[in-house]
Amino acid sequence: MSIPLISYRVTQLLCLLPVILGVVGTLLPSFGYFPVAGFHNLNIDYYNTLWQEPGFSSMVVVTLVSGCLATCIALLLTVTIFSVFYSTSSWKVWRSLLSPMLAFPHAAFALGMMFLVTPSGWYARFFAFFTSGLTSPPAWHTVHDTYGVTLGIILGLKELPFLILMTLSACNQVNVSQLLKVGQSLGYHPVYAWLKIIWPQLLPQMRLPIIAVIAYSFSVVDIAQILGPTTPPTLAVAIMQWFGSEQLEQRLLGSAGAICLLLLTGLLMLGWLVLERLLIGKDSRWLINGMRNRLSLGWQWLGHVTQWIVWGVWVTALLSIVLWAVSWRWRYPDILPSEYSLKVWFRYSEKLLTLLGTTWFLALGSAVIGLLLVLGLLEAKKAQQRYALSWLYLPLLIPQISFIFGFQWLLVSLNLDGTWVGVIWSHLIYVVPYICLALVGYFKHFDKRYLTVAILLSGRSQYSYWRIKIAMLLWPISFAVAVGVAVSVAQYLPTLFAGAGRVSTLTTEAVSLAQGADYRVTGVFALAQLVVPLVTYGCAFLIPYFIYRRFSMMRI
Amino acid sequence: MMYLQKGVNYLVIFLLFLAAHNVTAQQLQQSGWNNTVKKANKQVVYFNAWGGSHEVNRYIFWVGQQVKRQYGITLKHVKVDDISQVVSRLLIEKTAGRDTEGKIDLLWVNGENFATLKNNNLLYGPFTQTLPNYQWVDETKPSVIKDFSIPVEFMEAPWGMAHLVFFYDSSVLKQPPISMKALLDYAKQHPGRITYPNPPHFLGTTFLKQVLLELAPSPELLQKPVSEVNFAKVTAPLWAFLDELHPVSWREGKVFPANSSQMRQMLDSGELHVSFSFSPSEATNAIHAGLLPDTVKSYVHKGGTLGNTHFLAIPYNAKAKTAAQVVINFLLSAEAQSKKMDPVIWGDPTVLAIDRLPEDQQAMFARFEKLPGMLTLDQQGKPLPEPHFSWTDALEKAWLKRYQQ
Repeated sequence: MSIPLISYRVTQLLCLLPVILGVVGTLLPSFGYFPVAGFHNLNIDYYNTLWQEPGFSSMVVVTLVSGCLATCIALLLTVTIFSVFYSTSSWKVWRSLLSPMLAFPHAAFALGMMFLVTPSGWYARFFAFFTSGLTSPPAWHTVHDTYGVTLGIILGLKELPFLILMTLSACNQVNVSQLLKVGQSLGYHPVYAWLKIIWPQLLPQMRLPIIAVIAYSFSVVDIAQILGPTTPPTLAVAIMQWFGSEQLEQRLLGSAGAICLLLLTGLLMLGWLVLERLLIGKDSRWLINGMRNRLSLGWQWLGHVTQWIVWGVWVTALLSIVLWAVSWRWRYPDILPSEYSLKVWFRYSEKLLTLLGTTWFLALGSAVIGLLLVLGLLEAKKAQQRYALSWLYLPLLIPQISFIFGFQWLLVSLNLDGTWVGVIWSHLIYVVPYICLALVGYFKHFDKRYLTVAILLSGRSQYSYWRIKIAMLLWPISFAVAVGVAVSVAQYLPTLFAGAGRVSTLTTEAVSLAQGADYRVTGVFALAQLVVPLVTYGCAFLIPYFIYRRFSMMRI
Repeated sequence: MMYLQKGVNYLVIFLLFLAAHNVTAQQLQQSGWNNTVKKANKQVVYFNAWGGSHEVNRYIFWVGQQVKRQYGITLKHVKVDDISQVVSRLLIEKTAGRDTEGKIDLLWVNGENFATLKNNNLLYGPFTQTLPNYQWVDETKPSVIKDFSIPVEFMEAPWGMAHLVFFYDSSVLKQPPISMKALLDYAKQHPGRITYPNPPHFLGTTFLKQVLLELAPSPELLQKPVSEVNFAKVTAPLWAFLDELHPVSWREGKVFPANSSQMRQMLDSGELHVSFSFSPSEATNAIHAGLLPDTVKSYVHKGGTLGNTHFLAIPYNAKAKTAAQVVINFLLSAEAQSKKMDPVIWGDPTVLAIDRLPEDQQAMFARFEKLPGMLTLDQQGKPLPEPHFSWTDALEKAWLKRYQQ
C-alpha cells in the first residue's frame, strides 16, 4: 500500500470507528444491553422511563427552540451579511474579523456573553446608568430562561463565523461576481440579486455546513450549561447529568436520551432539506415574482443595524472578559471595575501555565497529526472522485453526545481512557474534517503542472512534493493547522469523556470554574482559553510571511 | 475481706497486664505505622474531590506539597463536578472486574454516596481506627459516627464539618429572618429576592430538609428510612410552604440558581437579599477574597440548622492504599486541620476534639481572631442531625416531579 492509501485508511479508521462504534455503544445500552455493568436483557424499559421523566417534554421543547433558533439566526445573519455587504467597504472588515471570530472558543464566548446579559451584567449596568432608575439588578429573564431563547441567540451568533467561512468556500463553486453583474444588468438590486439568483445556487452547496450547525446546536453541552435553562435543562445537558449519575440505570436512561436526540436531530435535518426545497425549489413563487428592488433601502438599513449589533456584541463580549480578568471589585451597578488587580492571575499562575501547556500540547499534537493524515489522504487516488471524502464529515453530522458515551467504552476497553493518546484521538475526530475542509479547495485547484515540471527537473517525486507543492501551499496549510488548533481547544465533551477526569484543558477548567460564579476567575480562564487559538492564528499568518519573504512569487 | 483483697490483686494484675499489652500494641502499631509510611514513599495518590472551589483546591494543593515533603507521596487532585460520578465509575469497575490497579485512591464523600459505596462493598477498610491521628477525632459529634444515619464503622475517616449558615448584607437588610416562616414573610414583602439552589444540588436539598425540620409536626420521623413513614403526609407542610414561596421568590420560582456560589454572586450584586451555605465561614472567606462587601453578616435560624460531616474514603481497588492512608492521617493532624479551619484559607470546621489535643496544638486553633462575617461556635449552636440518607433521593425526586415541568 502506498502512503496516501495508508493514511486514507487510517483516517477512516480513526474518524469513523469512534462514531459508528460509539453510536452502537449507545444504542445497545439504551435497549437495556450493557454487559459491563451487568445488564443483559434487551427491552425498551428505558425509553418508557424516559417519556415519564419529569419535564421530558419541556427538555425536548427547549432543545428544539434553542437549536432551531440558533440555526435560523446563524443562517439569516449569513444571508443578510452576504446580500448587503458583499464587495462593499465593510466586506474587508468582515473578512479580517473572520479568523479571530472563528478562533474564539465556544466556552469563552459563552462566558463573555454571560458577563453581558445577566441581570447584573454589563448591558443592565449601561441601562441602569442611562436610566438611573435601577438601584438593584432588574428581574430580566436573560440567562437560564425557561425556553432557551438566550441560549439559541448566542449559539447562533457563535455559529455565524463558521457559516460565513463555509459560504465563502461555496462561493468558489458559483461564479458570484458574474451572477451579480447579470442580475444588476437585469435591474435587480444587489440584495435581490443575492436573494433570488445567488443564494438559490449556494444553498445546495451549504447543506453540509447547515446540517453540521443543526447537529452542533442540538447537542451542545458547555454553552448550554453556562447559559441554558435549568429546570429542566436542554436534552443534551440532561443526558450529561444522567451519564454522570451514581446509579447505573441512569446511564442506560442517558443512552436512551442520546438516541432520542440523534433521532430528533435527524428529523430536523430532514426538515431543513424540505425547507430548502420550499425556499428555492421550482415551485417557489417568490423567486420568479419579478420583484427586484422593493424596499431595498430597508434591506440596506436592516443590514447595517444587524452588522453593528453583531460587531457590538462580539466586541463587548471580548472587552468584558478582559475587564473581569483584571478586576478585583466590580459590583453592580458600576460600569467599570472599582478596583483593578492581577491577584487572580498570580493566584492561578501555576495552574494556568500547566493548563496552557496541556492545551497547547493537545492542540498542536492533534493539529499536526490531523494535517499529516489529511495531506496523505488528499493524495490518495480514492480521494479524487467527487463526494469521495464525504464520509469524513460524518462526525460533524452526528450529535456529539450520541456517540461520545459509546466511544468512551471503546477507549476503556483499549485501556486508553484518561491518556494523552485517547484525548488526542477524540480531538482528531473533529480536527481532521475541519483541516480537510480548510485544505480541500486549495489542493483541488492546485495546478498540477508545477509538480510535473519539478519532478521532471529533479527526478525525485517526494522531494518535489515537499519543496514545490507543500511550499506553494504553505499559507493554506499553516492556516489549516491554526483551524485544527482552534477546533481542538474548543473541544469540551470529548476531552471530558476521553480524559476521564485526568486530562483537563483550559476549556474543561473554564467551564467547571464557571460554576464557582467568581467572574474574575472565569474572566482569567476565558481569556487564557482565547489566547491559544489567537496566537496560533497569528503565527499562521506570520510564519508563511517570513518564509515567503524571498519567494513572494511562490505564494498562491 | 480476703476474697476482696484477692479480687483487687487480680484486678491490679489484670490492669497491669492490660496496660503492658496496650503499650506493646501501641508500639506494634507505631512500628506498623512506620512501615506503612515507609511503603508509601514514592507512591502516587489520585485524590478525587470536588474541584469547584478555589479555596478548597488551594488547600489540597498545599496538602500535596506537605505530603511530598514529609512522606515523598505525590498527591494528584482529580477535580470532579460531582462525586457521584466517581461512585458510578467505581460501580462499573467492580462489575467489569477491575479489582486492582483502580484509578482512584482517595475520595471525598458522605451521605448517600457513602451508603452506595458501603452497600456495594466498594470501600477498603475498616481502617481509620489504625491511623495514629484518629485518636484525636471528636467521636461525641453524632455525625462523625453516623453519616446520614448510616454507621460509619471505620470505613471512612471524618475530615470536616458542614453547618448550614445564612448570610445577608446588613447595609440592605436590617433584621435577618431567623426562621423559615420569617423568610417566607420577608419574600412576600420583597418579591424576587429570596431563592434556593436547584435540587438535586445538595444545598438545595438541604434547604428542603431544613424547611421540613422546621415545619414538620414530628421531625424525629425523618431519622427513619422513607419506606417506613407516610412520605406524603410528612412532607405535606414542605410542599405547602414551597407553593407559597415560589410565586414570590427569584424569577417566580421557575428558575433556580445552580449552587451557593451563584447565590453569593447574586447577593453581592443585590439581586438576592439572603444567601446560605454549608460552610460556616463562606461569608468571611468571600469578604476576604473581594467577592462580598464587608457589611455581610452570618446568622442561623433560631431552632438550629442542619449540619453534617464529610469524610475521606479509599476504594477497594485503589492502587495506592498505603499512601492514601498516610495522606488521610496527615489530613487529620492538628497542622492540617487548623490550616483548613482558617477562614482565610478554607474555613472548614475541624473534626478533632480541640480540648483533648496537646496544648501546643490547641494553640493552633486559638489563633483565629474575630473576622468579619464569622459566627462563633456558640452563635452557630448545635447542628441538627441529617435525616436518614433515603430522604435525600426521595425529596429530590418529589421536588423534580412537582416543580420541573
